[in-house]
Amino acid sequence: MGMTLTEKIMAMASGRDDLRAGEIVYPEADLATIHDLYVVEADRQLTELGVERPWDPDRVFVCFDHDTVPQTVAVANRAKQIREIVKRWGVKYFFGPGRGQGHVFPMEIGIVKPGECVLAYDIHVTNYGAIGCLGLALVFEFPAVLATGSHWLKAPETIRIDLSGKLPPGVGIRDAAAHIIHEIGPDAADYRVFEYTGEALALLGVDARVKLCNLPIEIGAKSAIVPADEVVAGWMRERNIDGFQAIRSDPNAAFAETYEFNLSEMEPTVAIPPRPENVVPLGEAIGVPIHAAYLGSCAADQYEDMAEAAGILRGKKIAPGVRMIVTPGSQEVLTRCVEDGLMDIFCEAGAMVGPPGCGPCAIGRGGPLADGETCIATVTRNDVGRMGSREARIYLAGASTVAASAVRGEIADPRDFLA
Amino acid sequence: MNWTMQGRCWKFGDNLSLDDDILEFAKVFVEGVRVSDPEYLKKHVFTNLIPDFPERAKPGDIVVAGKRFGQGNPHIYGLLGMAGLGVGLIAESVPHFTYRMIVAAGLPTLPFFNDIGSFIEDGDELRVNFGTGEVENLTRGVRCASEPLPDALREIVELGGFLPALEKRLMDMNTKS
Repeated sequence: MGMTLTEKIMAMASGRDDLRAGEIVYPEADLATIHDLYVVEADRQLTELGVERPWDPDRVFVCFDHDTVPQTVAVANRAKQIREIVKRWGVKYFFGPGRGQGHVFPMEIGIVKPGECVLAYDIHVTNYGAIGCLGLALVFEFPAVLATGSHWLKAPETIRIDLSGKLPPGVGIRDAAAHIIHEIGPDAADYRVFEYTGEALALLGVDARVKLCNLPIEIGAKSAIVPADEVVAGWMRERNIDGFQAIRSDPNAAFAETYEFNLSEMEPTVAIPPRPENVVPLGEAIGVPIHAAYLGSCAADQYEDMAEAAGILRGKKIAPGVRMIVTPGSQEVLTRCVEDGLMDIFCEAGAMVGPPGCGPCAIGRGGPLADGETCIATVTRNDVGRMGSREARIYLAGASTVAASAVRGEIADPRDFLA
Repeated sequence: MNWTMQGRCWKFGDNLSLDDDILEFAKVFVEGVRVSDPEYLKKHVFTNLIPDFPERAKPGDIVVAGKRFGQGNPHIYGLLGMAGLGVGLIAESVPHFTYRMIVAAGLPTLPFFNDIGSFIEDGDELRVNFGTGEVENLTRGVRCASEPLPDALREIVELGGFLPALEKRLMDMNTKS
């Protein structure tokens, strides 16, 4: 019996030739990633354990993407404290506020690569699956990784998802990703890796693959991955990043389940509050009045997302009484939006553009929702209180639908905007 | 460690969320910094469902939940708060990540107890052996059982959760090297 891609990557990281789902191993991280909201707590825990510096500072990544612009003196003081801690840790990869969202830009500059095993504090590390890198989150147990480079992990089973066809006009990959997590559901997804295969991938770039890898974690999947292929190789060449390797699941690997989806049959979707798996066809929510629209978060802040939204907003104005915030995923994305004129479109439409980072997806930072408000957003989750008030409601959708709704002042179908 | 607990049953339904039902996530932050002290967190456990739960719950009480207890973003804070209150946890099921967090919080648990809700009503007096998986409903005179945690994970709970267990691992590593 062969091995899945996930079993192969975890075996390599654990110094083993062979590994099967269900076995408990201690994989050593090729990179350990943590963001600003957790540094102080992690350092306190390490200090209590007598650990002053991470096991290998050259393999630690710290990024300021949640509190990019401190709103209070207490938060500013904490930011200062974080800088002092990071200096003491002596980490190789430290990026201050405004550099970008930590689950997006490390791929763009080659800090993470195909075939690597990244252990992280934050669950959305699964984004790296877009380039064939396995991201595994440990949240509260992350200090174990900082202290030792590893922690116990049960090798997960893999669900194979074969994609065929091509998305129709006005339908985004986020719509397809939402449909897929809804169809598979939390019971089947629990502690499994989603591995995407199939002919449709040839037409899906890294930006699109990030959406496929971002959403499954919301329903309990352990990770998600697309085997690195010629698309990823070309994407890395464009950015002068070396270290490409193509590792795939063996043809006779044991998959827990296999699903097939035809992208040609997809339509726009929306996830009804308060859970991300409450995915319904967009038609069921058309006309719901909104107060705010948000484009950004690690689920939708790459260039393709910006271009999708700009395609709808071009020459239009955001509806009176609606505010729209846009946060590009990185300085690279922001620069390209300026160069290609997307920023002009956002500004002329009346949208506010915030600094690269997590934006209001991080519990409303930089634009919280008020009591009784309704927002349509590309954020990762729509739990009660996710973007501020517990009395606000969040509908999740792709970039086009968010832009179309911002223009109409109510949840709207982006296909109505197609020329 | 004494794996047997006796106390009142607090019965809840399915799909309790970590970030709102079990402990409202905003309350984890004090002056912008996350707090993981169980003595602080215990004051906010379940208060969105039962406002005076922290005052009424006693050490030894048992929280009995339905399916997918602790769904949502796997934040540990509510589970640390439950450990701070000294209560135990029985659920029909928990997502895997939450299972990890329950162990890491050092919370005695029987996380996959099929159909537990049909043996037990809110307010019943229970005696639970988390080491063997046996549950005795003293109010109704009913007994039932499920699989206890595997030995390796029971050891982490016994040590007091993730941090004491990591401390032991670091000591073992230093002894070897």
